[in-house]
Amino acid sequence: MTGRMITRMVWKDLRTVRQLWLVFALGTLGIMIAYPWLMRLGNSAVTLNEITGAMCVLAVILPLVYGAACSCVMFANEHEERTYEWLRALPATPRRLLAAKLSVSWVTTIVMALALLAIAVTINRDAFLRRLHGFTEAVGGDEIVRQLASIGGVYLLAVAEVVLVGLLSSMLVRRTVTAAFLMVILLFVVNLVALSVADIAFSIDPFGGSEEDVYAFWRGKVFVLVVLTLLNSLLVGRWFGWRKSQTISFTDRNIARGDRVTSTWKRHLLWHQFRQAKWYLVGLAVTCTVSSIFILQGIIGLDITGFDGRQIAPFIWFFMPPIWGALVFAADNESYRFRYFTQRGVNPKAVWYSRQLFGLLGLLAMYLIYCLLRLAILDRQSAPRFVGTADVGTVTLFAFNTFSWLYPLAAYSFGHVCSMFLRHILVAGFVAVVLNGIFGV
Amino acid sequence: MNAEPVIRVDNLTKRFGRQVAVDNVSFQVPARCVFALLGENGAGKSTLIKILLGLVDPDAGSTAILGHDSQFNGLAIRQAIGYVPDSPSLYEWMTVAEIGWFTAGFFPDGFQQHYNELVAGYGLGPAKKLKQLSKGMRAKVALALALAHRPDVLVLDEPTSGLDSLVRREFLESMVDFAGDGRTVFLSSHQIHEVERVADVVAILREGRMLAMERLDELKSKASELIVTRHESSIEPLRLPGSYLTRQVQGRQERIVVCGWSEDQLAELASSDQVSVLDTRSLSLDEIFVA
Repeated sequence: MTGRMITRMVWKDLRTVRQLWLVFALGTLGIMIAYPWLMRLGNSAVTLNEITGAMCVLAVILPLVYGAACSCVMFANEHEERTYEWLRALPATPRRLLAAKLSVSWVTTIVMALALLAIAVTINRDAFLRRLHGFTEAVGGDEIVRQLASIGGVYLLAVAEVVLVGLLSSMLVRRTVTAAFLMVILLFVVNLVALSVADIAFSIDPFGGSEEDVYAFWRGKVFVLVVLTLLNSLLVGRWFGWRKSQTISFTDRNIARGDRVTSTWKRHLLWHQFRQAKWYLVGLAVTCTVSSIFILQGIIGLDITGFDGRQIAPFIWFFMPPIWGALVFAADNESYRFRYFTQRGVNPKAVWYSRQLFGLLGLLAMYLIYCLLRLAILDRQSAPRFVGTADVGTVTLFAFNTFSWLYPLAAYSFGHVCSMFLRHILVAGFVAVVLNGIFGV
Repeated sequence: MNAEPVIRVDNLTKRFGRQVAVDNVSFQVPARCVFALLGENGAGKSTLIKILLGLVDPDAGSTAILGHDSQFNGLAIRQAIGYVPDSPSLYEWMTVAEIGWFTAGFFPDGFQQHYNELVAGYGLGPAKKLKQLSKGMRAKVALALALAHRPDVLVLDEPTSGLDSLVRREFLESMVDFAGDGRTVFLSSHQIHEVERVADVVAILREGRMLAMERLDELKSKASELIVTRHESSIEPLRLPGSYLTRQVQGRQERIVVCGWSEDQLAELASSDQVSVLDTRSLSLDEIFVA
């Protein structure tokens, strides 16, 4: 039934944005056809090469505007058309709803861009082939493939950026127009954050314009997009008036029936905690993967991306333990489950320990793997930089102990305390990061 | 009333800021009946229904439908019941057939076929767009969507508001047929006289508080209006042998609405030396509600 549900939601959203899609596609096509004429009108010396280039740029830029508009419509339109109440009353989960809306926005933008690009290339195929041939001769076929792959990757990220920011705006406000305004502001903020991340991690020159600076900026943006995806996933539940507890588990069923706690379902505390923490675990794994691309490169022995993750890793790994700690009791706080368990005879320590199993142990396991891999794969290849008078072994052991368990444990503790005493998850996370910044580091 | 309740509401409270929308309400809805939740606009009916469906969290208390706790298992509830929201806004650009096909994606097999039978029964053309339909026809589409997966419980929030009297009658009579099939109907309304024709059990909600909940026939037999004419010599206020709901004095005559008075109490009032004539009249549900 899940596939059928998503298919029909995709169909519904496609039909909702059909007019927008058609207007943008035909409008862009019209501009592309009129563009050579307009260029020649202003400047008679314009070459066919310039026209081809301009048409290709139009074919990929205007669909981005469509992607932004389409994603802004997705949620806000349900409020405007007053279909929100009816949609909520259907037995659908918010993540399926988000998946449908995300795929419609993303896929239609990509399809439109590819179709328009194909049209632009077909119209000027002779000029295009001549230009491509010229490039191939100048820089070589491999370089052309590398550049095309890089442009394609950056474009996919750009589409993801506008779609994610658009959907976020659409969930935050109820009017499409307001969502569009908010999206413009958020896009500015996102790029500013991406620039800051890239600056902190790679020390780029924002106005340098070199290939290295541009790539560093896009790497910063990948980090921001991961955060945006998680934010969207969290917000859609709020938009839908949804609580995690609605995906019923064994323990919830018992809670719902008002059963007394028995030894049979005490054992399910761990399973319950796993279900409660599973999305946080996914987030942790994604963050680790993003921040540790260099580990994969080290394992494979190939520098695929030209990206040294060591530069960005400290930034991400500084924030992760306190935020992770702040999430430990988030779900318990939301639905008073901790109190429920303890009031029904479960030893509070048992509940507390069950929460630590995936919280603390999960985090420590990640850090241990990270440090071991770093030690085994990379640092053996180069000598330590700051040894001073101490021998290399002592410095390595100190660094290993500090980063594998001492720092994560201390930082996690700040988050954990905030999670217990601050009910609001965002406040808890923020306070934990501040406390960790002041005392932990 | 002795059967396992289909809907259970225990000490339910919901506040919006300082406004108490539902105030410590408790009741149970028995199976196989038409249950009407009555109350004026803003009494808390829609809030209560949204809490029942798991769309809004209560501040205190709990609710359950078919054994599923609303707070923890809204998804299962929405799969198991049929729900017609207050003035439902469906996707206007869809046709009658398309909205059925779309909604069928959320329910098990068989939804589409039953939906087609229902819309054919209501005389709705499947190719018609929803925006071309009248209000009454749209209400029928919403009802068909709510009934197509053959739910055991049907929840309707002000289902007849804005409909003309003919469609209202048709709509409400279909509720009786539905309950006649052994299923339960829970409907909220402020149109008391309409509900009176179909409801088995009524509950009255006012400013978030439950004033009464009883079988309709019992409630009507308990409530009565007394028209008391006093002796000319009697100048003191009339002494009543029980409590009353409303009391209006017009010269020597008093109109008193009482509920649950026994024969003895009536006899005591009739034999009072203050009373010259005592007439009693049974009340309609509308009159009881107003009282």
